[in-house]
Amino acid sequence: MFMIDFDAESHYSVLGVAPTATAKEIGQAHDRLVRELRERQRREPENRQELEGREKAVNAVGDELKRPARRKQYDKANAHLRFYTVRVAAAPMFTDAADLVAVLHRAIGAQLARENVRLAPVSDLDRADFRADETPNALLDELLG
Amino acid sequence: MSTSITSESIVVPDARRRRLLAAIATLEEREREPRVRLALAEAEFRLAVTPGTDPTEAIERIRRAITHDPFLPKLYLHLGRLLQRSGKYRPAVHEYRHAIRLAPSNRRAHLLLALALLELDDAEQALGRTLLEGVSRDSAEDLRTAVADLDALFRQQRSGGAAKSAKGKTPPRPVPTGKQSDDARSSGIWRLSLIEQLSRSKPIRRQIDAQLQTGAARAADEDGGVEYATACLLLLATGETVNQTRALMKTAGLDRRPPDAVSAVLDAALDLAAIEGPAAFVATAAGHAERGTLPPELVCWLHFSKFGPACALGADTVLRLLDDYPESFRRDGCFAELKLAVLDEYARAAWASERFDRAKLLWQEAAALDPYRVPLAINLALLATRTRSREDYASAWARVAELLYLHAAGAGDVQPLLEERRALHLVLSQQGRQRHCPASSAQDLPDRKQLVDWVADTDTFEIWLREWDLYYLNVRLSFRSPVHVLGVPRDASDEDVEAARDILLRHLGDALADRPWAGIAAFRDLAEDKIADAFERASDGVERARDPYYEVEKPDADALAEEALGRGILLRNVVLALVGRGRAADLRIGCAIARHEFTLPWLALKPICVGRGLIDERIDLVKLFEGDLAALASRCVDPEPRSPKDWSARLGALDECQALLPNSLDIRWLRCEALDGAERAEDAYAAAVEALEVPIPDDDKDPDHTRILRAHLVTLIDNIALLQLPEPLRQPRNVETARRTLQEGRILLSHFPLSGALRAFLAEVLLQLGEKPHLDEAAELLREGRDTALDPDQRARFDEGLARALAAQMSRDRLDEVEMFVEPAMDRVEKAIASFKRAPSRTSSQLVRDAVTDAIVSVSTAIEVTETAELPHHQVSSLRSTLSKLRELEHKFSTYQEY
Repeated sequence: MFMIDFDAESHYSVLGVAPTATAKEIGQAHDRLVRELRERQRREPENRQELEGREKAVNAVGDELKRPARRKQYDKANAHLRFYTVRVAAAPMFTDAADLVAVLHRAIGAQLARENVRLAPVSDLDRADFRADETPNALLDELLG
Repeated sequence: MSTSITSESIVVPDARRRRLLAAIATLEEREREPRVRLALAEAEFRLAVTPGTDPTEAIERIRRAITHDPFLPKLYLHLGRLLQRSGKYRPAVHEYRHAIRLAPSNRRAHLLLALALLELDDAEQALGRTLLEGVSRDSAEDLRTAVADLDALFRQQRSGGAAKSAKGKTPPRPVPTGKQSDDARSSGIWRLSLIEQLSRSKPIRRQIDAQLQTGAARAADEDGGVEYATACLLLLATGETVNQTRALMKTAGLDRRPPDAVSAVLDAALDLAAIEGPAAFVATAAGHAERGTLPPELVCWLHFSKFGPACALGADTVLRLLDDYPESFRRDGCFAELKLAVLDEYARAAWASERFDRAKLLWQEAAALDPYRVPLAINLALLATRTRSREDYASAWARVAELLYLHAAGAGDVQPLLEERRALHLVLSQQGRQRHCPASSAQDLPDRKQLVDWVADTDTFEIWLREWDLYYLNVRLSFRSPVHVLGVPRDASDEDVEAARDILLRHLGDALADRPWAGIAAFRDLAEDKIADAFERASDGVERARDPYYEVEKPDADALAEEALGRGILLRNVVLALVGRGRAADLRIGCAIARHEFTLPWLALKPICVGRGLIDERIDLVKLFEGDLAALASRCVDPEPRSPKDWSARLGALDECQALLPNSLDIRWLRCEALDGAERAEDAYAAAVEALEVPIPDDDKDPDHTRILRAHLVTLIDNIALLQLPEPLRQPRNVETARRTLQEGRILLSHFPLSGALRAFLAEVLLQLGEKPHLDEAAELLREGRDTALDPDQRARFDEGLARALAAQMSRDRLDEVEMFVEPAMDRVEKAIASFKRAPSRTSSQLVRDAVTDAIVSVSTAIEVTETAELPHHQVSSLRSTLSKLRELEHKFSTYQEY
């Protein structure tokens, strides 16, 4: 039975970042890893060759991910890396400030309306009465009586 | 105001709507002079903004109003408002922009524009904040700059270049001065600005304080007090402590106001937020929910923020707490979202710490609250994958796909969740390929061994086949440019546009066929509508030339074409590998591959192939693939079918081949052969007859081969019926057997009327029998055979047979004539001789002589007739022999004397 392969290594896993990491995060991770590897090369001269190899691999990966066009191509060829990310299933009001504020603002407005308290609309998006926007038109008004 | 249900099932103020509709009808009958047009515009506008008018109708009416009066700013403002309310933010932005072009100082348009921009991407949001700040401070300069920056952004989006602001810099961040104009204060802009700040992930405290200061200054008014109290509630919800909120109230003097509805809500919220103990909180919150004294959303949020996953209580306690709410509140939609949010957060934490069983239980419980929530379905599918659960894997991913299409179908639009669908199908397709044919890009082609191993892994291969088509379909549907939807060049001919539409519709049908997903039929209809709309627009030369999305989408369209080309080449390579292998079991998968090949946009891909030297300009790619499939069908025969069961298995695959290539004579021949092998004679016969009716194309590249195939089919038809005749009857040796042969043969001929061999055989038997009715029947059979001959050779054979039959008929007629006058004469001779023998006398001998003399004349005449008619020699010989005997008798009786 065919099953998706979840655990394959990726450029992102080499750098220790999420596939959705920003360019800044990728740059920082790359720099940090290179720094650590060079530090280890100084402390562990007996492992220098291996560590140099790993530094080379990290540089290659970082080079690919730090260039937007190449990163886009890599992401396209490895679409599963972003797709296999656990999603947030909660309603946006529980995870996003903007949504929370919008929901609560509407709910408070509705609550006050039930108490016959008028909350002035913040914009035309909250209004329903646009009679003030009607323009007098002699011909039309005559037909309307 | 009375209401009623209109024909569109809309409940609207009846009288006003009726009067406006009547006015419009009256105006439309008049000549369209300017004052009539202005009146129509106003009437449509008023109808659009009448409370209760359906949003779709309202948009349509505003558009109509614009056609009557295209220079009225309020029309664009309200059109934008309606679009924004419908979630169409980008079109709304364009309408607001148009309104501002007509009325540059209109604050409402700027404010709405700002709010719409805040719903879009980062660059647009930044401009929205700038605009909001500009409106708040009533700074015409800032507004002009922001709008100019927006125009620059639009130009950049159209051309794909780097953004430059009107001043040559990137769009400026809003300058937090905190000052607002009197206008802003009186209009409530401060509240809008506060809401915008609170909506940020990192609000700027200084800005918030500035807005609150403005609000507090207005709090003395009744309206101002309500607004300020609302702001306090929002602050409480977004992290302000109870004490801080009470301090803000005090600053504005709200604590000194007489109790009213708004202060009751505020006090209740503060009291609830102040409760520390979870049980007490739940009891109080439940009371508010039951009495309706606080909005359920606020109650749920306060619960989540105080006693949700972030609190120190354990997960089990947090979840049990939710069960302590009364049943009536637990039925509320908002409560379900609260519980779902809690479950989801704990589930994600369990996933992160690799406690997969727990994560599964939590997500399953969340899915029970909302079975249609896509993120939950995806998480459960990821879980099944992570845990390699064979029992859950397939159904979980199928459920994800089903929901992604169902939501689009439910929304009546292919766009919702399109990116998720595209990504899902791309991922599955890539994974289906990577298993056996890893590639760093779509252009990497696997070698033959990789292809063969891949095809052998049926599950994986079929997933790649199926999922890529769905990916391709969704990418096509994502385009806004009609030519990119159809996958044609901008200068494509009308015929090519039509052909591309047909191919895409076929692709759609094949990709979605047999999907057991709820709503898939509705989705297919929506996709067909989109394709039909793209075809109409692409067929309009003016619209095609003006296509605003063509350039901006071209890179993605070109990339898709590259992928399609790679796919096509790979598919062909697989087919050729299978042809080389020649295994019977590969035919069915070969047909499946061909089906996918044929739905690629080869019209658009051929120029790329020619340009890269992959094929010659004269090659017809579709015919090339058709030839591959025919070769597959004819060569995939190892092992050879030996039994009817083997033939039936082969037949199933050939049926699929014929469905793909109904005009391929090769495949039709192979199918007839298989039907014959499977001992389905009548079906084989019918199929062969049908095959011969397929017209030969004018540009037949191999007429000799076609001729040979047609000859095989004729032979098959010829032999099928003959072989149904029992063997003993195929060579009748006596009249009785011949009659039985004819009896059986006639029945068979009624089933297989075009079987030439059977017909000719029966005619031969009839000719052998030789009697007149048989000869007549033989001639009739052969005449029918000539008229229905399947080819010239058969016709020629029937012509020859018919000539023989006609000759035999003529012989028979002559013989009958001869017998008519010879027999009586010979009878007289016999009777005279018998009389003489009884009583020999001169008289009786004279009678004999007379009879013999007459008989000699008759026989001589008969000999003449038979010689003239060229009847068979034995007939003439027989008569000569008779004549000779008669002359002997004549001589004998001429010398008789009576003694």
